[in-house]
Amino acid sequence: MIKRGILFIFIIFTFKGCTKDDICPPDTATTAKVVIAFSDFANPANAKNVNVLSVQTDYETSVEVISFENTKEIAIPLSTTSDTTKYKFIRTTYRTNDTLTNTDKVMFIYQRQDGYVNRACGFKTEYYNLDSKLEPEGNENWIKLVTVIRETVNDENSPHVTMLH
Amino acid sequence: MMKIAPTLLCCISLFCGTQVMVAQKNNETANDTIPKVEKFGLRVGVDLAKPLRTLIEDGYSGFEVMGDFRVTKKFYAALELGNEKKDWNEPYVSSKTSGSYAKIGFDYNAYENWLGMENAITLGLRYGFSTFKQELSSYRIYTDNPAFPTQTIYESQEFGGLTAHWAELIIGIKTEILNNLYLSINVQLKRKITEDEPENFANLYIPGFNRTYDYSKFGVGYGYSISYLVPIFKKTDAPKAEK
Repeated sequence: MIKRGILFIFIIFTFKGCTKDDICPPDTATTAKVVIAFSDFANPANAKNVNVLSVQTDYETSVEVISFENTKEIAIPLSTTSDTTKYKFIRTTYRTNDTLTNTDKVMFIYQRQDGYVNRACGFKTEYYNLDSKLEPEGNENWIKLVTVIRETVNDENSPHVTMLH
Repeated sequence: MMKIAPTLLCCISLFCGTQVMVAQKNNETANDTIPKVEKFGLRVGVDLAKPLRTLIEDGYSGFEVMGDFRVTKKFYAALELGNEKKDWNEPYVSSKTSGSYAKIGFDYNAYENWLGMENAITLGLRYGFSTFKQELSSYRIYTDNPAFPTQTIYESQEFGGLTAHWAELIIGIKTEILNNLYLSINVQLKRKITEDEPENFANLYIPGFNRTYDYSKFGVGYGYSISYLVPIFKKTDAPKAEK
């Protein structure tokens, strides 16, 4: 009986220990991703879906961050350890008898600053003076134009970059 | 079940014992003519828990000295002075804090002693003040995406000349174990009033206040101390004539 009581107290204290201070809550504003909106090249005011889009980091070991999505807006992370981030934007078009893939390379250039969030989440990175570079491939680019609309990446409320295609 | 019997016995004997004592006390107040002698003086002591933690806990060192002076029959002016050094490690941040603190206030003895005894159950209030420095030794950028794993950044930054102020409720028990020698244990509930926040960081630990919480201004603490009463004068508490 006493043992059970001790166990009970122990359980209470174990769970009592898990406060907001110990786990980073998922809704906390930590490092923001860069939000990219896709618009029609012919009519830049109109949003236009990419059918179908995959996005991979463009390094020796590439990691897929967007996988075969039919979308007009994406949010992708930027590197927290380097002043540039390289991505491959892959558009896959399915035809009746074949599949076409077109890969465009885009590099994001920026300045970084680390800001304190709280004790559970540690720090976040804020990005300034965001710039983008589309690797030209002549007529092979499916992305026609990349424009930065917001140079500071500190939230994900609205697009930072538009890509016309 | 075997264990319950002695426990129960103990409780019963305690209960009976108190009954007798209460009866005695009543007798005393009614008939006693011996005047109650109250000792007044300066009580000085040290915290035992902090040196012990210094020995056994990694990344901690600290000490605290205290003194109280009996002002009236029930009230004691109290002062604690201490110094603490503490490494605080969280999954994403590590810091080192060191500094000194002072707590000043009073204790109220809520315990009615029997003749010749000097025990106390005290309720006290303190104003706490700490000056310290904090060093951010390493940190990581929080991330939940696998594309860019974070690295721990070891760029030590020091924030000096920080201060913090808090109010503290302190509840303790003091027992006279030998003549004029007291052992006491206390728990503390603290509420931060103001603090200097380091730029682009926070105080994870404040000497005297202990760890802080992001979502609350409260803190907790405890003390276990030994103290010696230097008697300065004695006052006879002449029993008031019964009405």
